[in-house]
Amino acid sequence: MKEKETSKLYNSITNVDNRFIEEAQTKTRKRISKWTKWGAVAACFCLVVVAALFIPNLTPTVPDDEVQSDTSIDYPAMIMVDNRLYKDCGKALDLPVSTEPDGQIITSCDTIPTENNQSNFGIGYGYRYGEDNTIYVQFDDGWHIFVLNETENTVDTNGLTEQELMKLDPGYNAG
Amino acid sequence: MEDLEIIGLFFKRDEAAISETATKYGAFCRGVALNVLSISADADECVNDTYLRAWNSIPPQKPDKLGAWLGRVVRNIAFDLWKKNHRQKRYAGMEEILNELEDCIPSPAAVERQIEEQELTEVINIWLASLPRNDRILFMRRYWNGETVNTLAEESGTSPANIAKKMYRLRQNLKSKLEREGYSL
Repeated sequence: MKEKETSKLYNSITNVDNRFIEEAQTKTRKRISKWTKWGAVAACFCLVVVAALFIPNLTPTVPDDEVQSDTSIDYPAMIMVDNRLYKDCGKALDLPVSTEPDGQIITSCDTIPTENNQSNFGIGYGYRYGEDNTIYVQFDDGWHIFVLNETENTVDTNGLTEQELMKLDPGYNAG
Repeated sequence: MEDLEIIGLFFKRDEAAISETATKYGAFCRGVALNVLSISADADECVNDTYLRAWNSIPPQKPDKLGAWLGRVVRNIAFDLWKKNHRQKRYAGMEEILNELEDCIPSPAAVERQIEEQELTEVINIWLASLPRNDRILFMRRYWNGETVNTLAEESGTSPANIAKKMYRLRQNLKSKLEREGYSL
């Protein structure tokens, strides 16, 4: 651990402005008013109409050899282990906290993991091999199930967005 | 009781100041201490030391926001305790927070000069102010309150992996901000 640097960061965060500290003690989420909700729907509709009128080509083609790394896309939480991609299924597992992990996530990326022991949500997480093509990933005091997203080198594209498909297969949108 | 009245008791050297502080902010202080230390007895020790430090510091100090002031004291005492004991005890909360904060440290090649702690606080203030409110609250609850990823996930009705992913992006965002400004820690 880079103790000196993290200490400085910890202390600086300790001393941030009072208003941010107080704001963080508010746990209830604000309810969105009906007007805000319908206002947002109307704004989106206007934006689509304007975009359709003024932007000639809404679906730009991506060159075969150039896939842009777009970190604004909200990819699902994923990890790569043994050249296989696993995706968070949102379910937890009743496994003792003390269970030893089989491996650890050591690198991280912003989009879709492409290396073994890599995630797209940070490093240091332990994982265990689970049953039926699953991996259990440890967060704080619990284990969470990630399911295989790839079989026989073929990516299961179910549930992936256009952008995700383009990222996985650069030629997807070209022809 | 209002903060000003409690501070008034401290100024009068009335011991009720401690019990009123405990009534109003005891749970909050204990929560912060327990989140970062994860050991109940040590968290209690931290909270008691916080009351003692308040008694010794007010007056002359007169905090604008007593809760935030006490929270800072608790975090500092917890950090001192971690530094003193972390080779003997496993303070899971603090270890995780510090490990994650490593992601925010700019890479050496990208920096021009070392930033002082106070200046770093100012940069973080500006960065926090630029975030959407929900992201800012999430960052503060994780790295100031020390709340676990699981707690945050449960409350927002999403999976811990999604919260972890969001936290990772926020840390990368802070790191970029520091690198853009040419700082090293």
